[in-house]
Amino acid sequence: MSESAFGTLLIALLFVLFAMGFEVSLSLGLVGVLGLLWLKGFTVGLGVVGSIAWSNATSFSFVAVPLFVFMSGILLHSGIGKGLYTAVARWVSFLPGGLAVASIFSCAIFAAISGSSVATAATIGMIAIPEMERRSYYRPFIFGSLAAGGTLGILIPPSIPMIIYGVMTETSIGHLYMAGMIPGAVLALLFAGFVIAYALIWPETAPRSAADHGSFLDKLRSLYEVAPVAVLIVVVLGSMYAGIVTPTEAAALGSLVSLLLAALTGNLTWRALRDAFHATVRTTSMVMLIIIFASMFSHVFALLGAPSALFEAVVGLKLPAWAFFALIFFVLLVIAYALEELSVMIIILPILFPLVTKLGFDPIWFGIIMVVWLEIGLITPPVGLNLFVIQGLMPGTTARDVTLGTTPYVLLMILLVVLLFLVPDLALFLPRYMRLGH
Amino acid sequence: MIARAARVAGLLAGLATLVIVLLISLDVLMRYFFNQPQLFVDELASFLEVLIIFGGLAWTFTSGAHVRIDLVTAHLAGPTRAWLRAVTLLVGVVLLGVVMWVTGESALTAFRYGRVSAVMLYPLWVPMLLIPAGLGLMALTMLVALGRQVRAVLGPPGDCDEVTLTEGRE
Repeated sequence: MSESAFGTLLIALLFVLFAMGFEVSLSLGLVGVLGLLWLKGFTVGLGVVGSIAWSNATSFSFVAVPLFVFMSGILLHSGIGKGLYTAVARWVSFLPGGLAVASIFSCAIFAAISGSSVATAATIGMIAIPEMERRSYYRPFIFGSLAAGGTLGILIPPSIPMIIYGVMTETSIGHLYMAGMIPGAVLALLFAGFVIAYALIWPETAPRSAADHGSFLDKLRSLYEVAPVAVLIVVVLGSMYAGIVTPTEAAALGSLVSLLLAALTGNLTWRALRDAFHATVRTTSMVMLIIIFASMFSHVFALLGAPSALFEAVVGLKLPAWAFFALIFFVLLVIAYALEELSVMIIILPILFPLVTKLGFDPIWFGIIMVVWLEIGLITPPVGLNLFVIQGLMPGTTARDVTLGTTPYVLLMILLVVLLFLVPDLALFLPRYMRLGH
Repeated sequence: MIARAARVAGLLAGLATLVIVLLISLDVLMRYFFNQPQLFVDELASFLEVLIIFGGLAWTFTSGAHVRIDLVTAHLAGPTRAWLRAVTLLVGVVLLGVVMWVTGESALTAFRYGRVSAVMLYPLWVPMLLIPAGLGLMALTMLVALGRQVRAVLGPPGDCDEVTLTEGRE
């Protein structure tokens, strides 16, 4: 059997295993192990398995993954989300759709201490949803603002997917973080602009109340309520950009301060700690097992010469850069509607990344594109993770609510991708500035 | 019993996260305020990461948190789905067995040759052994699930479907 036929067979097998409902990680592992056995024989082939597992599992940068999940778990019930939302609502609730605007800005600010979209949607949603329901906001309107606002969690640094992307492609995590800031702010403003426009056109979807106009004293008092969040932002992002700590160390310090904050407010119970442990272990084990087995899988495909063959084939198409990019992104969008994207990113990155960079796209810029794509995946039915989180907080949500609520935000994210393509400096300005500065 | 072991290993993995938080914070504070970096921390944290990943595998499995794609299987009839699951569980146990054996060999080799870590010269076989141990525990939980699945497949055909292995409380 020729190598290319064998490669095709392996990919076919992978899809069959996926379709059978075999665990994604184990499917990759099985295909990887079979490939190694065929290519390198028993002793040499399987010898690689141990070293791949070991080198991935002991990567110091990956240590940040459990730390950020743990920190989110501690913050979830710490009352910090309530303080933040109340404060932001005081400042922006005079706007049309004010409480939904507050949801989006609260998510954007919380995103600066959270590496995960799910955690952002859960923490802010827990507080914001009852507030908006009490004011009888339109349900799809509530749903969309939080599901979409939550996705900012991974675009605005810190970000777990950026850590994974950075380690897998050997791109600086610090630069990726920087690159996410402006696109994150732009996306938050786009979301808020949409919410305001929507509430202006259909005022009955967001009934207003006299309580929307707080006194100036209230606004000043609200600054005190966001103090814990401000402290955490300084600890998690400030310490890193002051050059004092690495991303992993920033995650550890953030967790420590979160533990202290939770303890101070009397929220550090054994139950909270155990729930945080469970969330941490579940996410880390799941993601890392996929990463480990996916790197065996991509090792096999590198041995088969698939990345360079793919590059030759794509160059042979003689497409202009924009058409090529549009093609890739279209395929990714279709995938976003069908599958769990983070695993897909881990699987395709070893093949897609060399292709994209060889074609002249910037590695950091492409990282931001991947993250926006992940955000889209988080709110596209049927398997968007954020959808499940918000559905859990809003019992009785129908599929129609979900689709109506989230589709406009998907379009706005696609708009951001187009903007990023036209003006790559949206992402690349800050990292370049930072490089020059040092 | 196995589910309990999975939970205990998972909680240990969770505690490892807490230990990492404290160790790294200690390192940063000692380095920044007293100019005394704690060299042992980076290596120890990496080893504890191994404990989080592999110690948590089985608990993650009993919580149903290993990602699967149900795009196709959701549309199948219950008994077909049950059969398929029995097959994939069996394949999973075999695969985990093979990887466990291979990584176990690596740990054994590291022990025999006395391999140590680069900075603090910690013996590497200890954290390396966590890999086959965690995989083995996951294989056992999958084996329990397989047993239940086979019983469901061979049992009364009426309510035959995929068996879930979630714990009562969580």
